[in-house]
Amino acid sequence: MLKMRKRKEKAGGHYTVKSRTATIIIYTILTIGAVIVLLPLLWLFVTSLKSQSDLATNTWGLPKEWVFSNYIKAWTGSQIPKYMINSIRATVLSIIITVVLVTPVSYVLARFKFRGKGMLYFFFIAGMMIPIHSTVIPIYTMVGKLDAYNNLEVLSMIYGAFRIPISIFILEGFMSSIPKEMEECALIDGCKITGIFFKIILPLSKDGIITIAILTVLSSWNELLVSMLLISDPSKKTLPIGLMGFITEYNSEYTQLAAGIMIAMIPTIIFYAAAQEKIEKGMIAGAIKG
Amino acid sequence: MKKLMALFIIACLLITSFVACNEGQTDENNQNILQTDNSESGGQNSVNEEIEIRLATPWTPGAIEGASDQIAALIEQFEEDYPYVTIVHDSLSTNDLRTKLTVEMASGNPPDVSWCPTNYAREFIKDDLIIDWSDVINDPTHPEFKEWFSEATIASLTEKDGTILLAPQEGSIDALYYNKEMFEKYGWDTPETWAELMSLIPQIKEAGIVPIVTGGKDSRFAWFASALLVRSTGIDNFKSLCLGDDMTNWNDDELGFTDAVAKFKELVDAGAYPNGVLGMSATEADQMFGTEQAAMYYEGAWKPNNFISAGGEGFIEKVGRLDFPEMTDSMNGDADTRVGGAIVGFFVSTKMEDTKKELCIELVKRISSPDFNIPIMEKGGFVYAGNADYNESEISDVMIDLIEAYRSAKSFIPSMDCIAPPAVDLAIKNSAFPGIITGEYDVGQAVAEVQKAAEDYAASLSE
Repeated sequence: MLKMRKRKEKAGGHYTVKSRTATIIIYTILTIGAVIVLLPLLWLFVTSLKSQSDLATNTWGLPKEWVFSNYIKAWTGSQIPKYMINSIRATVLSIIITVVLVTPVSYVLARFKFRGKGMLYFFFIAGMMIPIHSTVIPIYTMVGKLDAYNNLEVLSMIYGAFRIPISIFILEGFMSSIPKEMEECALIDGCKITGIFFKIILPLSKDGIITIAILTVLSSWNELLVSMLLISDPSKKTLPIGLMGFITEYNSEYTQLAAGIMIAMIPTIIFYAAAQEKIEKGMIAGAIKG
Repeated sequence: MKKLMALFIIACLLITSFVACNEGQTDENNQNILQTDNSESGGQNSVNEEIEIRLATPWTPGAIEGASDQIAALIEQFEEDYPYVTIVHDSLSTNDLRTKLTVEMASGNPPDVSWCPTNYAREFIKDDLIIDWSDVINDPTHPEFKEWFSEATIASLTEKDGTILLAPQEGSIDALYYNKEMFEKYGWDTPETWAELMSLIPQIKEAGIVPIVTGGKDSRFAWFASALLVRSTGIDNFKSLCLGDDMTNWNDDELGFTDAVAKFKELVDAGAYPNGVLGMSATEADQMFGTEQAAMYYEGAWKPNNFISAGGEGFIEKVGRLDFPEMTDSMNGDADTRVGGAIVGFFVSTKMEDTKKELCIELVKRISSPDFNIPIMEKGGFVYAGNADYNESEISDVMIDLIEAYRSAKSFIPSMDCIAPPAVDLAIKNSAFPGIITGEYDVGQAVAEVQKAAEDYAASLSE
């Protein structure tokens, strides 16, 4: 007979129901989930420390000989430091562009009532349905007409532009969930719209803004196609192009590629770890309006 | 947490600003140096302007051992010889380079000089986007090309009307790679004819080894299709089907394609390929051959370095090369033609002034030269399309076999993806051959599939 121990705890106004079996099941599922997520990362790390022949004959096992030189070769041989700085530049600029453009638009769409608002909102978010790949030739031609190839700022603008629809979708929902009463109090106290935006809405939306920033980081950091097409100058290339250079039909340096990917992941992991709490809050905060 | 975030963002901004400022200064310095050099070198550039040449190659740092350093040294020397010239070198993997070339050509902004496959060049030259190399190669002021390259090599880049699509550089040659040690161990004879190959397959299977492996997932059937077709029907009928009057006669039994597909079905029915071959990538096929689970592997000359990656340094010594077996029962079959030739090369864009065009031709000449290519070939990177002495002690036996097979070839036929209309090539490697493997098509249905693609292609040309 299964002994169930139900306990109700009053903690912070919430009731929780606990049972040992349920806890074990939950932890088992979570552990399996964590292993599924972490195993590819672990495999990548182990691969980055193998020799090419070891990888061929011993794909899943631990290295027979630990080859740390893969990291040195990846770092020095393929200009990863330069590519990484370029990727950071493009990513930071695309965050700035996205946040600066999206926050006022989201505020207007979340708070103001005017004719055509719904149409404007759908006009913005319709952009989510346009894949970046379908626009490469027009983008390439347009950038050429502006004589702006090999320009990381232009690349950042394109990244920023493609982040606008999803960012508005997230931030508009987030801002709509902020109680209107706070703005009404500020208005009564004589605060103007700009003041409300900068002193009330922006500070209260920081979780949402961090969410769109993180999503921009992830997409810009990993983007290959547009960057490959618009950047020819080796001193301006971004990290994904550098990593793709390890795999060609002539030869494939998988162990060095794995080392390069490990290096490339570090900034995104740090950024995600630093902003993890805000991302989680941001992702759910806009779910309930009003 | 807030402080950490703030510090991270500030650090990023500071680094990027520093790099931007530094690059700005470097650009300015370079400009000053170039201007000074221009005034000193005077007569070299009559208009006294800086010239920027955009060069695209597949020699990324991870691609071919030594190629990246070799091209960097070539660029440095070129810029030293022509101080008013700056070369922007865009190195991408071959697949990325194909994508970029397609977009750049569609947008009317080709690179000044670029590596390019012949089937792409054929389309670009129709639109007058790249120069016809016959004007250069047949010009007595550029005698080097005819000195370096054989007639067969130049012929493989020459169209019916005499147009030469690209400047030759890398040579391609097919190989039925086999594991010499394995063949010796089991006492198998290397197959010279189709009948010998067919009788060998059950012996290999009996030993629990896969007879032939290929990257079915990556549609690696273009070379195999060319080998089957040229052995079945000969070079003239082959060219007539792909480029000539018989473009819509793929189902004509006398032209040999039906026979080629029947031979492929014979191979499949004998169990030559491993189970799940259509889901196997080229890399997985390399690994299967490199780990000695497969006895033979039909591929191109770029594979030896992949074999080292897959099987280790020692494995390459076990690999041998064979010509694709002769089909003694095919009346028109050609046993001497090898699949390959100069199927990639370098183009120069037409969209530039004459002074710059001459500089680009000079740059390509250096890229095509033995001085540039032999050191890369000696490291096992690729087979150089030209004839020049090389140090045999530096190269693996299989690489020597490949080089000699290339140099001794009487004639070449390109792989199907470099000669057939794209729709026909896709129908062969994505529909007909996979359909035979899955059992979805018999020979007649597979041929009909290709015939339909050829007819659709011909109709699209007449529209």
